[in-house]
Order: sequence, then structure tokens, then C-alpha cells
Amino acid sequence: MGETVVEESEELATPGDVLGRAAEVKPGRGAYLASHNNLVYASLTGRVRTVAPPPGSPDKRPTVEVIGHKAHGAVPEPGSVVIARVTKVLSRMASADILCVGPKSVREKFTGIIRQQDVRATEIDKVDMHSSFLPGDIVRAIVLSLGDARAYYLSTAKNELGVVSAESTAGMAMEQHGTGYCNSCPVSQGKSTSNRDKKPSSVPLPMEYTVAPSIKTMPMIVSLKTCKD
Amino acid sequence: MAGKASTTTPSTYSPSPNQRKRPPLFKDGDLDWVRPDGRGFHQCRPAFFRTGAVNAAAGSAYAEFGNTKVIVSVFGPRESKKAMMYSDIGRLNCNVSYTTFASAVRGQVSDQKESSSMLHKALEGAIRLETFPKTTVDVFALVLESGGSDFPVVISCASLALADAGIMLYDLVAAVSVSCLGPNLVIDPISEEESYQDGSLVITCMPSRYEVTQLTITGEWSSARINEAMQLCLDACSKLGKVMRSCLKEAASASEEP
Repeated sequence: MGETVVEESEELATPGDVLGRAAEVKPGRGAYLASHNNLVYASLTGRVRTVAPPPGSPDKRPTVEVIGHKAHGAVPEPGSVVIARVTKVLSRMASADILCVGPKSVREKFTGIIRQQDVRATEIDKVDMHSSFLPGDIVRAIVLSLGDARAYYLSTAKNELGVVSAESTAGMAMEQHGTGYCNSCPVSQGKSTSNRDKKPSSVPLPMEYTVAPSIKTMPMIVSLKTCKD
Repeated sequence: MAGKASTTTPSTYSPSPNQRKRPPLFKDGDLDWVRPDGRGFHQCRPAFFRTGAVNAAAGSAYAEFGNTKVIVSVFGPRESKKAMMYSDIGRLNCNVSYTTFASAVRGQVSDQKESSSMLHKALEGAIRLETFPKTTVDVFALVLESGGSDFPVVISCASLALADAGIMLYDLVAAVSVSCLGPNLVIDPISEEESYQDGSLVITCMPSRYEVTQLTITGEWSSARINEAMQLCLDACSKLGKVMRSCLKEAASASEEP
């Protein structure tokens, strides 16, 4: 993005306030255009922000937006990256509760599902759901679409998506080592069986030693560990 | 009407109003009775609004018009368990309830289910439902004290709560009711006046766009009186709209200060 001149005015707008004429401004987020009288009105309560048009565009009108003063809960939209916790794993799909949309956490959880064909990009028919996800795992996914009435459709089929944090069967948080199924990324794509079975070094404690986990609840903000090759 | 004259003795003086909301549209020098609280016929009660009353809700508002006190909480947009059908646009779910101590006589005041569906019809025209597809916005209105003209207060308070919750609206919604008492048109009636009314007219409008979202008329009206009452209400709605906007702006600037 080149330098876009952004101007934030001191005035507060309330829903229904006139922000300008359609010939002079373009409605952005928090504003809309009324077609019957060609005026741009505000939709939210907040500060008015004017963004100058990008230099190459034919449309010379600035975009006017209203920045809501209240940081209310976010709603998942197609294309947004979300953090979700897996609740149920079936043979062809996994059900997950969406906890954060982008950097904001939601007020009340939304339901999403990850279908077998959306777990990864390669060999999608050979995906084993039970070795990719376990209930309780934290997953970073992208919203594919609004889905059906019950759930949003999520996908982890990209390098930077997938299981971000998990607990082992002994109850301790697992570390990420190298790659599982994924080709080149630093994050374990899906959940590699190597993390659970084949690399004992990544399971901190042997199975018969039970430990009370220090943090049972999943963290809301999850940071990604880079792998050591 | 004889019934009315026996409750309030008709006097010949015109009361000097302590707080005029706007200049009278019609001369009321020839009308022969006084409103119990001393207001002019075309004078509304002073309105008090406050947003952010309920912490648990996404948005909330409290309104007090004389003795009518209403609190509205808005939850959403959130997933609705009841929604079995997929919908491209958002859904609105309204619920109006009265507390048991809301009326002078303990017990239910009026039909709650009807009020809920009327609130839904009044608000749905003002909300941009396409901005929150597949989710639901729940509006819960609780009438704490019913002092007359409850439903218009509920609507205005609900629209403030929606604006406080950050739901995208086309415009704020203001509502005012007018009662027909014999030859007189009385705006913003109290419960005593409502019990004697011949007819009532409730207008819900969007003041900035000058569009009406709901019009409810009960009783017997001639077209001329309907026009007169509508003009009265629309004028009052635009003034109420200004009060509501100043309340929102005050709350927004107060929350930004620290």
C-alpha cells in the first residue's frame, strides 16, 4: 500500500448522521449509501475517518469510515484467520469452537467444522482425522465460507495454518519438532503422528506418570514456535 | 366527557409550563382541562437516557420518561441454537417483559407476546441485517415501571441499546405516541390519560432519514385528525432523535477519555 492519507476527525458520528454526498465520498466500513437521495450516512457510533483514494485509481473520491468506539465481539467472516479449539473428531470431519477472530476474541463461541478435504493441501483423500486432530487441540484456521446453519467451514490447508498447541496424553503441553506431514513449513501441519508416537523426546513424560497439568484451560492468544531443524 | 371532568376539576387558567420542549403547534387556549402533571397538550415528558447500563450485554440502555422506566439489553451478533434454517442475513429476536411491580396493581399489565412482535417490526426496518449473516441479535426489554406510553419508550431505548452494541443501523429509531381524549390530542400520555383515551396513535420513525418504520393506530380516528396527530408525532420524534444522539455522543466521548 502506498502512502494513503488517513484523516481522523474530532467529530463523533451516530447512526443516521449524514457524512457527505455520494458524488464526493465513498462509503467505507460503518457507513452506507442511501440510493434514494444519494447521501452517505453513518451506521455506527464513533469517530469519522477519511481515507484518501489510492493514487492509481480512477475514482477520486475519498472513502469515509466510522470507527466504532466500542470494541464489541468479532464475527467470523469468509477469509478471516481464526483460532479454534477442537471439540469433536469424526472420521471425515472435526468440529471446533471458534474462540478468536483475527486478534479479537469472541464474546460467545461460534461453531466451525474442518472437513477431511480441508485439512491439508496434498493427498487429501488419505487424511486420517484421528491422527491429525484430537479434542482439545488449538488450531489456527481460515474461514472458507459461512457454511450451513450449524457451523462455519474452516480450512487448515496452508503452510501457516494447523494445530498450534496441544496437550499430550500425560496432560502436559507438547513442543513442536520438525515436520509431520507437511512439506516445508515450520509448523506441524495437522497433527503429525510423529509428535505423539514416534518421537518420544517430544512427549515430556512417560505415559504411566500422571501429572496434574498446571494450566488446564487453553490460552486465548497462542504464539507460534518456530522449529529447530 | 363527563367521566373526565369529574376526576380533574376543569379550571379556566392555562398552566405555565416549566419546561417546553417546543412551541405549540396548535393553540390550546380554548381547551378546558388540565393534564394531571401540568404539561401542555403538546408537551412531552423530559427524557433521560443512559447507555452502558448492563455490563454483561454487548449493548444496553436505560430510559426514563417521567414514571416510565425501561432497561434494554442487546446480545449479539451471536450464534443462535434455535436457528435451524440457514439465512443470508442476520436475524433479530425481540423480547419485551414487564416486572411484576411495573404497574400500580401487581400483575401483568398488557400482552407481552404482542409487544415483542411489535418491537420486532419496529426495529427490523432500521437494522442492516446483511452485515451479520447467519447470526442472531437478541434484544431483551424489561419495563421496570409502567407510567404510560411504555411501548414508544421501549422502542427508543432499544434503538439506543443497539447503537451502543455496535450493530450497524440505517438510523436511530424514535417513537412517540399520541392519545385522543375527546376533542383533544394529547402527546406522550401517562397511564391515567391512557385509561380514558378514545384512540391512540404510535409512530416509530427514523428522524434523520425522515422515514416511518411503524405506525399503530387504535380506536376511532378521522383522516384529518390522523394527519394532525402524525405531524405532531413526527415533530416530536425528530426532537427526541436529537436527545438520543447527544446521549450517544456523550457516552462515546466519555469512554474515550482515559
